[in-house]
Amino acid sequence: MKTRMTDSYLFKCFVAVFVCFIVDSTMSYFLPFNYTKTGITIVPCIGLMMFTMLVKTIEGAERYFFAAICGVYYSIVYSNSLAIYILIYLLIAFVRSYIFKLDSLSLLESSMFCIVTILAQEVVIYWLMWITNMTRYPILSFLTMRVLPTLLVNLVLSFLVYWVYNNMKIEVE
Amino acid sequence: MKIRGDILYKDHKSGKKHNKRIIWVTIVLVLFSIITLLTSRSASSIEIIFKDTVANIEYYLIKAPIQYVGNLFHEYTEMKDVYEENEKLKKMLETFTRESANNEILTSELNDLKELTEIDYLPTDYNVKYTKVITRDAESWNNEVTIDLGSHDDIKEGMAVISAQGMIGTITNVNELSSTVSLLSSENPKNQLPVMILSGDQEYYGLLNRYDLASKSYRITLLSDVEMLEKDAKVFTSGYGGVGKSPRGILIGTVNDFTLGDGTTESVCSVKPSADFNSLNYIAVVQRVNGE
Repeated sequence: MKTRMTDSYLFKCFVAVFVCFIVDSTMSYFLPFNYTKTGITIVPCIGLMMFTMLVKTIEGAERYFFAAICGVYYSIVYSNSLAIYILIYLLIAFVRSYIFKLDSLSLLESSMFCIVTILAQEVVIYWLMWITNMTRYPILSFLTMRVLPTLLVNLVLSFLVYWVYNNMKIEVE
Repeated sequence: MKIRGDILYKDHKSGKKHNKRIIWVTIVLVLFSIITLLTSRSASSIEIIFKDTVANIEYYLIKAPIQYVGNLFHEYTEMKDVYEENEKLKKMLETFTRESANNEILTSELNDLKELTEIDYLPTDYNVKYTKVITRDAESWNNEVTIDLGSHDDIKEGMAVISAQGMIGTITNVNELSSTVSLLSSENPKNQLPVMILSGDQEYYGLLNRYDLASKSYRITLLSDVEMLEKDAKVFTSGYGGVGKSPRGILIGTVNDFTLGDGTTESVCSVKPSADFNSLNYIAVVQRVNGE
């Protein structure tokens, strides 16, 4: 994928991530859901995985701009204005740029990176909910009923995201 | 060559300006995020309107057509059971006729009593408006759902929302075409709900504080002096939430535990929810008749 920066490219990246957010929302709408947290909870993270793939292809200041806008959009539309997502998305952009900075990833590398990112996000949000007294969800239930099923489902979805990313023609000449 | 050089210089200059703008926007968003986290700010009206607009577009363009097709398949598979269901319904119809006649007599008596006592409305009088859940909290931490009724349909904050089995939540935010429902299964609800417990011949009053994950039940603080509560005593809304709020008599659940308070602690009971929170696609908003 070419990394030449133009507004058109950035716009296409935004569209790709926002479409993935819609897929996430639609999937979670039809997945079995349990508001009393007594059963399994699965959170599809296709948007987040696509974001982790695309963020490295954007250069310079636009990379963090892309991360911040994706975080703002997700927090307003899907998470009741929980602004921590802006920081999480910026942190992912930073990690992808300076720590895990491979230009192209193999299927295994990309899946592992996506899973670790989702795990980190889930843990950070749980910790935030716990310290603000929003939940008393026991940690063992959180790990077995929410984190584990979410990671397993997203591991399968990460293969699909990798395939879509590699077949996506959003570069501009 | 000079002209081309000028153009390149201008491009470089505008590119720098563009980059500066982007950096500023990013810094502002980061500061906004940090301030929001530190001050625990709730969503502004612009954010709510934007969220509800996206939710409506997503629902009517994507989720509703998928749901429609899914329902068609579901109905087709259910066709097999129609004969058996019809037989059962025929038997029930005989009882229904008797109950219906009895209901008419009671309604007529109630109207006579209303005229005698010059009461226009009872706290138990209400209408329901059926609705659908159009979006759920994707991260599932807030216990909120969005429904496709708003101020256009005379929905107001504080109205009760019910499923077929009982009350499930209250309206906490109203927009033109959609509203947010805070579910009773929230561990940290925005408001307390006034409730009434029918134990034997006695009526007791209390406040539903929150949902307790460990006991899988609501925690109710009792306001009345209570010595003992029957197990499985029914809990209803008391109708004392104020004008336009939930009416009296909507089922919330049944008592499964009671702890008598002493001088320093209050009496509390835990209540098993009557509603099934696993299936919330079709619900109704309760509009109190005198709720102007």
